[in-house]
Amino acid sequence: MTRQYIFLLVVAIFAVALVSTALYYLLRARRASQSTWAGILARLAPVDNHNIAIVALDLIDEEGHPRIGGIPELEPGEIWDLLGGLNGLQTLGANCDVLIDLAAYVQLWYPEALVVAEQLRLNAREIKWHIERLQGASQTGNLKSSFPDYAQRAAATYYLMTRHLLDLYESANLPGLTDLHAAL
Amino acid sequence: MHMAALDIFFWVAGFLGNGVLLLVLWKRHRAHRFPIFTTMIAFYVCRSIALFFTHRYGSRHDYFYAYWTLAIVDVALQLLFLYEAAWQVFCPSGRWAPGIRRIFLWIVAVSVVLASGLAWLANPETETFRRAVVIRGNFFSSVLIAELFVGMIVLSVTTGLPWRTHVARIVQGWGVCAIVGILIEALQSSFGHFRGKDSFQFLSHIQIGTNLANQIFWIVTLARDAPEPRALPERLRRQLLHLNDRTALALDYLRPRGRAQ
Repeated sequence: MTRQYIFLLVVAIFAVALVSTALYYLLRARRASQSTWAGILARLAPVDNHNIAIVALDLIDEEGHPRIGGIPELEPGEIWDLLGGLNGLQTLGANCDVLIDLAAYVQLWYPEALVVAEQLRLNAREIKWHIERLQGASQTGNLKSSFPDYAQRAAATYYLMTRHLLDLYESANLPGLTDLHAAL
Repeated sequence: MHMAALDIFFWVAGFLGNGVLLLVLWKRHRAHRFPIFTTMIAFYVCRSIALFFTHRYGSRHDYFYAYWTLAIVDVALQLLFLYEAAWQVFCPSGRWAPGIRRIFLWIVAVSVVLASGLAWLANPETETFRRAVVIRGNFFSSVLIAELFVGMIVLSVTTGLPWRTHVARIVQGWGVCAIVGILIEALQSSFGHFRGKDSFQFLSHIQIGTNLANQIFWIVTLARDAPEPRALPERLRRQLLHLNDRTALALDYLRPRGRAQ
């Protein structure tokens, strides 16, 4: 009988974990689908967009093409300060989730805009990948050398995403464009 | 072999429920969107007929092998349907989004290991080896389906991929049945036959009742239309394509391989 009780206890814990996880994520999905435009914008964490633009435009131009002149000019220390270090980059990563929700909001109006939402989602995942590489580097003590390369790419990608989103809203003539300009 | 009146009622209700569901899938043109799901429901209709006649005219031995063979086909179809649902959620543009397929396969692998571990831990209190095999097998499939159901929800929410109405409702209803199935089969495994045949049957009836309620939920959901999407204007479509091309070019440069070239 002892084995039966252990089995039932394990199954009960397992079932509670499954139900809790499913409920948590279903509610999260439901909240996201019912979010208002202002509600999603309110989740954007404050970042210095001017600094991000400086870091990004050291690598690419406004259109996203490689910058004329070739080699990036910013020093690693400058990039570190402009982005606010690893914490600043993690904030960018969190804001990427918000950008995806904004794109999903567009999808509600025009489900065919799925491709754009998918592209934004992929960009966000790429930024997170860069951040994960940085976190790995911080654990092995190589953060200072890895930061400029990965962080600059993440900032440039984030910069492109925000331009992309603004273009999308301008094209679609959707409400909230002024708010979005201010938030980004 | 003798059947109680309640068993016959459940059997008939399940058969009719699947028949009506199949009719809804066909008449409401859902079959072409969910070919595997439709095949699975058609299989359930045929399975009810086959098991009824085997139960009525065959021996216990025949029934066991018919039941077990059909149960394996059932699990295979359920797994195929999960793939069909995953395809609709994770491949909205017709191909797997990068990185998603690998994570999904990891979820499948971990789910199989966990389900095997729990099924191994089960120690069915039965007088026959056959019944023990059936209980363990049912328990394994319920755990596996429930894990995959939850895994798909987590993956879709964390990657920002929305569920369309019908596929969401089908998988949600199925997931609830699978989680109820885990609890029922765990209790059957531990106490079903130990406390007597009545308690085993009572638990079975709860599970069948849950499945019937889910059938009604599916029939109602699939009979209704999903919200109509708005059409994308041609001007906006062109602009979106242009934006994507531009971003793709820039990302090619940003990625380490592209930058090195």
